[in-house]
Amino acid sequence: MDTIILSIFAIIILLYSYKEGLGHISEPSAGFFGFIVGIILFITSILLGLSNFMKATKQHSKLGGRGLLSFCKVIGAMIAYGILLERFGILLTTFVTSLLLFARKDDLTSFRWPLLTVITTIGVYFVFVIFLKCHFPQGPIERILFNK
Amino acid sequence: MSTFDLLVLGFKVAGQPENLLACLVGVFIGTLVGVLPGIGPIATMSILLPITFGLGSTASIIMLAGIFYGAMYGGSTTSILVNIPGEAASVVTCIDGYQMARQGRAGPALGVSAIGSFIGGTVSVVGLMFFSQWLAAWAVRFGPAEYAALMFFGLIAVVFLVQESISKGLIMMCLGLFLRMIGQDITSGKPRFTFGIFQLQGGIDFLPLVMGLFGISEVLINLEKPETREFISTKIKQIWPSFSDLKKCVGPIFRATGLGFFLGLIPGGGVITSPFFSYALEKKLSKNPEDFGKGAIEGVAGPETANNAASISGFVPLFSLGIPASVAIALLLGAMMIHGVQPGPLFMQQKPEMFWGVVASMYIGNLVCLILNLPLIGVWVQLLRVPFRILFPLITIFCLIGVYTVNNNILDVYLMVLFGVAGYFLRKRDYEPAPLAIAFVLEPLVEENFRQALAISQGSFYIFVSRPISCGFVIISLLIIGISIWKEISKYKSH
Repeated sequence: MDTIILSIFAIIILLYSYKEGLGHISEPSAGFFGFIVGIILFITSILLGLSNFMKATKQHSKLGGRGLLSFCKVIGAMIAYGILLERFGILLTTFVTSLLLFARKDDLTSFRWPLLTVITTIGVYFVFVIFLKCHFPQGPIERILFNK
Repeated sequence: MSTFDLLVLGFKVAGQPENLLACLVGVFIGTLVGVLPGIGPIATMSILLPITFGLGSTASIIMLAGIFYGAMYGGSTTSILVNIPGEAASVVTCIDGYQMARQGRAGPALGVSAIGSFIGGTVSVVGLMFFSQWLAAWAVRFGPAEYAALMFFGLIAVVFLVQESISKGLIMMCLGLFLRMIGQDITSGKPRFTFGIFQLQGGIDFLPLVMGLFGISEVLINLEKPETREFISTKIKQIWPSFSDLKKCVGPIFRATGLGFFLGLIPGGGVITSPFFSYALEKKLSKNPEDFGKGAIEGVAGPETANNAASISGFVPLFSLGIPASVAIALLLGAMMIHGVQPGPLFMQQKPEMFWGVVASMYIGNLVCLILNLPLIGVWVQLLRVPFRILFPLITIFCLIGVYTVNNNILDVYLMVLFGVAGYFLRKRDYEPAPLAIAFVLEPLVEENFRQALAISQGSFYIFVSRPISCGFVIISLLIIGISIWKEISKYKSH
């Protein structure tokens, strides 16, 4: 599988490099180096495929169960951060993202979970906004709290 | 100016409040991440890169360097007490360190590892001072052919030493080279490999790439690991080793310092390989080799000294030749480039205050690390109890905010997530991201010098073998490739 994906990718690099222009060997153009990289990638992926074919391939651990749930939770939280930040500001976005990240099925009724979220949000605001003076989009909470 | 005068200048620079604070914060964070299993110095350096942009160039390099060598000190604590290496360079310390802890000798094990680390680190800084100057004076004669050959050697050495399979390493190297080519052609400025996407015309930033590949993928990988740790809970007493322990460790510490220093100069993981070599050497030289694996103090002293010596000597090729010997050093190179500083043979002449400031800060940093790791060891032991379920949300939040603050561009956040997921799946399939990151950093230099060399020689590849230095690098690189192919074939035959 790796070999097929990598070989296709190498062919795309080769085609695009050719399209960018190879120039002459004494005066290489924009696609020249990319073309060499594409050739090396193509040859190596074929060699990798051959060596995998000849020897027993190692079983890679698969994603599933609790690992899959945590994986989806983290990715979902990060995408949510990207979507929310420019609309709702740093405070609300950090709060929501932290809430998602700290949430654990066996800990949902405990007060520790929201407490950690609040501490993280306040900590982030102090470190990035007050101490490091970074600029973030303003959200409704900043407008209410700081009258901005 | 003599070396002594330059060192005095370095101490003046390192003693400035901003630089001193950067050094203290760097070694503190380094020790912290070294102690905590699940997050290593590379991930931390990549996560903290955006914060260093607010600092001056010297302060940011001092801080990042401090994180790197500070982690080498802290890594031993986890290896000795939990039998889990805090970072890759402390794997060997687990063997005898943990056995010593089980026998109630955790204190001397931690003490000797801190002392060995201090000696290895400090002696290596002396070596760095003299060796860098000598190497830079030699490298001034390099032309494009020599540089291209040197970069080629650096890439091949990293691929060979970091990756178990050379084909996978080469694939990662090619991907790194290609990703950096996206954007604009370095000579003509013409857009290339943008696939019609306007946002790609500025190229892919270094930060989303490294924060995704090392920070986010590290979090995702660790989510699958069990949280239960076998922790040595007895009170740690008598940190200072006894006279007989110290006597046993003198030889291993000094041998490991030399070994670590020279292995650290070779691109591709001297920090990780040197503890293994040191352990094997000490076992071979020992009068009681049967004690190794059962709590021999020499088995802690040697490897811990070696990884610290190698972590410092890795700065020699960076400062004098401009090539990174490891991923952590590649991150430093990336940070220097972002600050508009190009390390190489002329770096010490053009930026003496920066070079000598960083060198002097290493003397200070090593001393601080010794203080942090001897009297304050109890604090770090308590930190080992912080569960990963608390750490990973904090790391993730820090990555998200950090990557956004650099350009205030939400696209960087998505790119980081994309590289994080890619890094996770690549690592699951045994593709280490290190060659990709190093190739990404080196690509402009490799391509520029390669194209210039071909233009000078009017298209003849003979230029790379007609000059003694470039010919030397080409031969060594081909030998490395040959050895790797031979190893792969032998592996196949043994199957």
